[in-house]
Amino acid sequence: MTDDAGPTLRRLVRHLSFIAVAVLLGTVAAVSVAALHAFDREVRPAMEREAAVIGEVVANPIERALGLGIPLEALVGAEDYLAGMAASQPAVAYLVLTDLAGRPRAAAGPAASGFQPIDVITAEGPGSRALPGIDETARPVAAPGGRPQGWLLVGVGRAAVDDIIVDTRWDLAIVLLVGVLLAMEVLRFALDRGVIAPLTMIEAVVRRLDTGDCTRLAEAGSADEAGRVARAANALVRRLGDRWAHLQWLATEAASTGAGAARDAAAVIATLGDRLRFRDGGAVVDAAPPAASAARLPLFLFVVAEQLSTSFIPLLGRDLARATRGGFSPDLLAALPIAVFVAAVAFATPYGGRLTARRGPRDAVLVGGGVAALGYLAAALADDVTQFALARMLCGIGYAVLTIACQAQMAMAARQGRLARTLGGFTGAVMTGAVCGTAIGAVIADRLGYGATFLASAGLVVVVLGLALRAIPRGMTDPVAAGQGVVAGARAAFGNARFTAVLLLAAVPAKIVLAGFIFYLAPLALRDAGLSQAAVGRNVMLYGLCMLPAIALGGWLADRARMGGGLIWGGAVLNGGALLMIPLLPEVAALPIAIAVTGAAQGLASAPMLAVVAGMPGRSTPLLLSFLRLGERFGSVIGPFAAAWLMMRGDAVWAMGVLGGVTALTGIGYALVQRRATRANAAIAS
Amino acid sequence: MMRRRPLIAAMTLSAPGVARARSRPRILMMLYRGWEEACDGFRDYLASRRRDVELVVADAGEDLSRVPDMVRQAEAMRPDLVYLWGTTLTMAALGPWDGHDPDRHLTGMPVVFNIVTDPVRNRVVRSRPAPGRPVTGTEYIAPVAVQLRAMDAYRPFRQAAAVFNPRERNSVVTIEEMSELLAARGGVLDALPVPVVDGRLQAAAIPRLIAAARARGAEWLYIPPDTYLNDQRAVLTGAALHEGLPSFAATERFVAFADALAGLVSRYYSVGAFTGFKAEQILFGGVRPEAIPVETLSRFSYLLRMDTARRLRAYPPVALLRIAEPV
Amino acid sequence: MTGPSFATRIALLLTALAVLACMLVTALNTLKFEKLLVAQQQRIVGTIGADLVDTFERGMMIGVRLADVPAAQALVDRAFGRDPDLRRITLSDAGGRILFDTERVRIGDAAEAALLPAGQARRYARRDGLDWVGMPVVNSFGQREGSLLLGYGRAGITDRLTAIALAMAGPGLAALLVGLPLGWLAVFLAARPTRRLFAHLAASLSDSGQAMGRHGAVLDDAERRLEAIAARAPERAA
Repeated sequence: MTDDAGPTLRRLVRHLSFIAVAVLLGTVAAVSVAALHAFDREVRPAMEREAAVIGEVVANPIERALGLGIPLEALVGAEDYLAGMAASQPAVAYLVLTDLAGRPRAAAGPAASGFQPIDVITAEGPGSRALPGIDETARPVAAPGGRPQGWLLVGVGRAAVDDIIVDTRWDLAIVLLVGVLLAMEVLRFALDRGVIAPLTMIEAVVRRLDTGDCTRLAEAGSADEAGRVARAANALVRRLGDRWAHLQWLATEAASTGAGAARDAAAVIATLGDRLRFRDGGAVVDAAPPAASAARLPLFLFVVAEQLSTSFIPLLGRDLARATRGGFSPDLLAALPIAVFVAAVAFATPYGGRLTARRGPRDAVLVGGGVAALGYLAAALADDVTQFALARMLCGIGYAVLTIACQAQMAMAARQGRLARTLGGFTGAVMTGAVCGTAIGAVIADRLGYGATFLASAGLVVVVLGLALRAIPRGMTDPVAAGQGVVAGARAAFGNARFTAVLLLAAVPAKIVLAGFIFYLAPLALRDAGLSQAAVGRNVMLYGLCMLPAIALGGWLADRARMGGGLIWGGAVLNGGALLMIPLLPEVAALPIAIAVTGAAQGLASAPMLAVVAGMPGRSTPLLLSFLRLGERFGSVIGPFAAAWLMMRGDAVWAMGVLGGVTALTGIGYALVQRRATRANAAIAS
Repeated sequence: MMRRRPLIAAMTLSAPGVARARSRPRILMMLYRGWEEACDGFRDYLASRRRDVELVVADAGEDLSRVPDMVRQAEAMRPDLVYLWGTTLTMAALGPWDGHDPDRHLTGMPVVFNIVTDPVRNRVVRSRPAPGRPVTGTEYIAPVAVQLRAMDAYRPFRQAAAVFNPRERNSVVTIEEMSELLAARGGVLDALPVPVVDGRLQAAAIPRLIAAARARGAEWLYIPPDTYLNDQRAVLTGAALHEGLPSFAATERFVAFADALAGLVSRYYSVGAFTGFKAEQILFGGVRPEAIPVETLSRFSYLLRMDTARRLRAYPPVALLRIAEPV
Repeated sequence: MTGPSFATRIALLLTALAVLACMLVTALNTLKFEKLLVAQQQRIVGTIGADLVDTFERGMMIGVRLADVPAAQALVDRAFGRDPDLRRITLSDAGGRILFDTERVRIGDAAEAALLPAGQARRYARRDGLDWVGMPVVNSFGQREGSLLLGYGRAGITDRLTAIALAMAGPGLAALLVGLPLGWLAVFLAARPTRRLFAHLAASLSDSGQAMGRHGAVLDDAERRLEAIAARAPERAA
C-alpha cells in the first residue's frame, strides 16, 4: 500500500462515520421533538373530553339529590361517593365538589391532597385549568332544570400521557442506536466495496507493474475514481503489452537475417523477460481477492431479521400453548418453539458446513436464507403451538446454514494472519445484529403485532438474499473439508479433558443461562411485572449491549494479561451471583441488573474460551470449535426446558436462583480443574 | 301494588285460534288473592322470550277451604306445570316435602312457587340448592345480612330496635337472625314483641314501645316481613317518625304506602319474571325442577321515602342515590 | 477531478438512511399515539355506555321489562349527544331484537349478532368502519336481559393524528432539507484526501508516470538493440 493510503483511509472511515451519526441524530431528533410537541398539544382536547364525560356521569346522582330537594350543604356521603367514582375511573386524578363560590365541600382521588382552590369564577363558571400533571375541567351542578348550586371539578391525570412520552424517548434512543449501528454496517460495506477493495486491487496491480509483471489487468467495472485508476493501469499494461508484441515482431524480423542475429535477438528478449513479464495472448483480468467483508452485511441483516422476534417468542409461545388443548402444561409447551429452534440450529450446523464446503458460501447463504424466509412466513401464519414450532424449526435450519456459510466465507477470505480479527468481526456482526434486531423488533411488535414482525423478518431476509447475490463471489468450495468425517473428530475432541472441562463447566452452563434466563424466564417475569412489550425488549437488549464491550475487553485481557482461565471461571461465578441476588431485590430492579451482569460476564468469558479451545495443541482447531458450538447449542436447547421445569416446581424467581447457583458452582469447578492442570504442568516442568 | 282483577278462567298469551294442540305447554296458575304484579312479571317474562304457553288461572279468593277443590281440578287437568302464588296457598297445595299426601296434595306434576317466605322452614322444600321434590320457585325477601348492609349504607349504626309479632314464626326467626348478625359486629338489637293480652295483639302499645326504644338509644327501627305489622303499618311508621327514628322495612308497602324511611325490597314483578325464568327452564330447557335451586333475586330495589327523609333531616348518601328509587 | 465519485454513492446512501430513519420514527410515533387515543376513546365510550346500562338496569328495578323502561328512547338519544364520535347506539333485547335505536328505522330489526356481548362480558369489535362496544344489560336475577351496542367512528382520532403527523412532517422535512446538503458537503470534504490518493495513483500510471518511465526505458533500450540487430547485414549461411 502506498505510504499515506492507510492513514488516509482510516481518516475517511472516521470522518464518514461521524458525519453519518450527526446527520441521523439531527434529523431523527428534529422529527421526534416535533412529534412530542404535537402530541402534547393534540392530546389535551381529548383529555378534556374524557374529563367532561366523567364529570357528567359523576354529577348525575348529585344532581338527582338536588332534584329531590336535598340542599348542597346537606349532602351526605359526598366524599365517599366521589372516592368510589375516582377509584373506578383510572384516568381521574381528583374529583372536587365545590359550592358556587368555589369552596371545596368534598374531594377525593389520588391527587386530591394537591388540589389548588380556584381563584376566579366568571359568569360561565371556573372553566378549564392546566395544572402541573393534571388537566382540570369544571362542570356546574344543578337540580334538573334549576340554577347551578355548585361546581364539580374533574382533574384528569397526565401520568398516562407522560408515560407515553418517556416511552417515546426510549424508542427514539433505540431507533437512533439501531440507525447508527446500521449506518456503520452499511458504510463499512459500501467503503469496502467502493474504496478499500478496489484500492487494494489497484495497489496489487501497481506492485506487479513495479516488478515488471504485465500479465494481469485490474477489474475496472465502476465509473468512479477506482474505476478510472483501474482503467489507467490497464491502459498502461496494454501499452506495454503492445510494445512487447512489437518487440517480439522485431525480434522475429531480426532473427530472419541469420542465426547469429537470431541468437542476439533471443538474448535481448530473454534479458527483457528478466525485467518484464508478459502473457502470451495479452494480459487477463485479475479476479478480485474475495473480500471478508462481503458476508458481513448480509450476516448482520440476517441476524437482525432473526432477532426481531426474540423478545416475544416466549410470550407468543405461551399464548399459543394456552390456546392449544392438550395434556401438557402450557409453561412447558411454551418452551417448545425455543427448544425446537435451537435444536434445529444444532443439528443443521454440520450439514450447513458440508453444504458450504461442497457448493460454496454463496449458494449456502442463498439456501439458508430461502429456508429461513419460509420459516418466518410460516411463523406469521401459525395459529397453534405445533405449527409455530415447525416454523421455528425452518428458521433454525436457515439460521444454521446461513451463519456457518458466512463464517466460512470470512475465514476463507481472510487468510494472511487476520483470522482472529476477522472472526471477531463475525462475532461483532452477530452481536450488533442481535442488539438492533431485539430492540427494533420489540418496538415493531408493540405497535404492529407479532405476525407483522415475522413478515418484516421475511422481508429483511429477501434483502439479505439480494445482497448475497450481488456481493458474495461464487466458488470457494473446499473439497477436503467436504470429505471429512464427523464421528472420528468427535471422539478425538471429547477424549481431551481440557476441552471437555471448558465445554461442560463453562460453555454449556453459559448457554443454559442465556436460553433459560435471558430468553425465557426474564421476558416472562418482566411481562408479568406489568412492563410493556417494548420495555421487555429494552431489558433483554441490555444483554447484548453489555456483552459487546465485554467481548473486546475479555479478548484484550486474555491476550495482554494472560488471565484467560480466570476470566472463564470468574465470569461464571459473577453470572451466578447476579442470578442469586434476584430474590433479594424488587423484580423490576433486579432483573435488568441481572441481565446486564449476565451479558458482561458472558462477554468477558467468551473470547478466552475460544482462545483456550483454539490454542489446544495437536488438534484440528475448526473441528474443536465446531464441537464447542454444538455443545453450546445443546445448552441452549435444554436451557428453556430446564427453566420451565424449575418454574413448575417453584416460581420464576426461584428458577432463576437455581440457575444462578448451578452456574456459580460450575465456575468454581472449572477453577479447580484448571488449578490441578496447572500444578500437573508445573510438576512436569520441574 | 296489588290490583285485584276478576277471576280469569283461562287466558292465553298468543293470538286465539293459532293454538297448536300439543306443542303448547299448559300452565295452571293457582292464585290466592287474584292476579297481581308477580303474575304480570311471570306472564311478561315468557312473552318476552316468545314462549308460547297456555295459562289457566284458578283463584282461591283468600279462602283456604277452596284449595282441595283446586288440587282435584289440577289432577283432572294434568297441566304441564303448576304455578303457585303465596306461602299459605303453596303450603296447603303441596304439603310438607317429608309428609306428602297424594290424596290431598299435588302429585306427579312439576310446580313453581312465587312470593313464598322461607320455603325451607315452611317445609315446602328440603333445602334451597336441592329442593328434594319436583318443586322449585323463588323467595322474595332479601337475605337478612343484605338488609343489614343496606341499613348501614344509609346510616351506619350500632343499635337498632325491631317491633314484631311474637306469634308469627317468620318474624321471630328474622329477628333472631338480625340479632345474631348485629351482635357479631358489636351491635345490639332491641327486640320489641307486640304485647298479647287475652290472646289479642295490642296495636295501641306500639308507639309506647318505640318511644322507649328511642330513649334507650336506638338508631334504626327495623321492620321484619310480618303480616300483622303490615296491617298496622300506619301506626308503626307514624310512631317512629314522631320519635325521629328512621325506619327500615323488608317489604315494599311500609315505604310505598306508609311513612317508613327506606326499604330493601323485591319488586313482585321482578320476582314473577324470575319465576318465569325457572318455568322456562322446566318447560323448554329440559331441566327437572328438583335440579333447579330455590333463589331470591340477586338485586333488590332500594326504596326511599323522601318526605320522611326531609322530616327526619336524614338525607340518603349520594352513592345510595345512584341505585335508590325515591317514592 | 471530474466524473462520478465514490463520495456520491456514500452521500446517496446516507440520504437513504436518514430518510428511512425519519420515516421509521414518524411511523412508530404515529402508531403509538393512535394506540393511546384509541384506548382513550374506548374508555370514554365505555364510561358513557356503563352509565346508560346503569340507568336501564335501575329502570328495570321499578318492575318493568327492558322494553318498558320509561323514556328509554330519550335516554339513548341523550347519551348519543355526549360524544361527537358516537355514530349509533342500539339497545336490543335478550334475543337480539332492537328495542331502541338512535336510528329509529332500525327498531324491530335484529341486531348484528357478532357485536352482541358474549355472556356477561363486554365485547369490542370493528365492523363497517365503526368500532363497537357491546355491553350486557342484566336484570335483577342476574340474567342478560338485553344488550347495549355503541358504535363510534374514528374521525376525531384521525383529525388528531393528521395534525400530529403534519406537525412531525414539517420539522422533519426541514431538518432533512438542511441536514442532508450539509451532510453531502461534509462527505465530499471528507472524501477529498482519498480522491487525491486515487488521483495520485492515476498520475503514477499515466504515460508520464514513474512506472511507464522505468519500463519504457527498458523497452526503448531493447527496441534499439533489436533494431540494431535487424539493421546488420544479412549473414551468409555458415
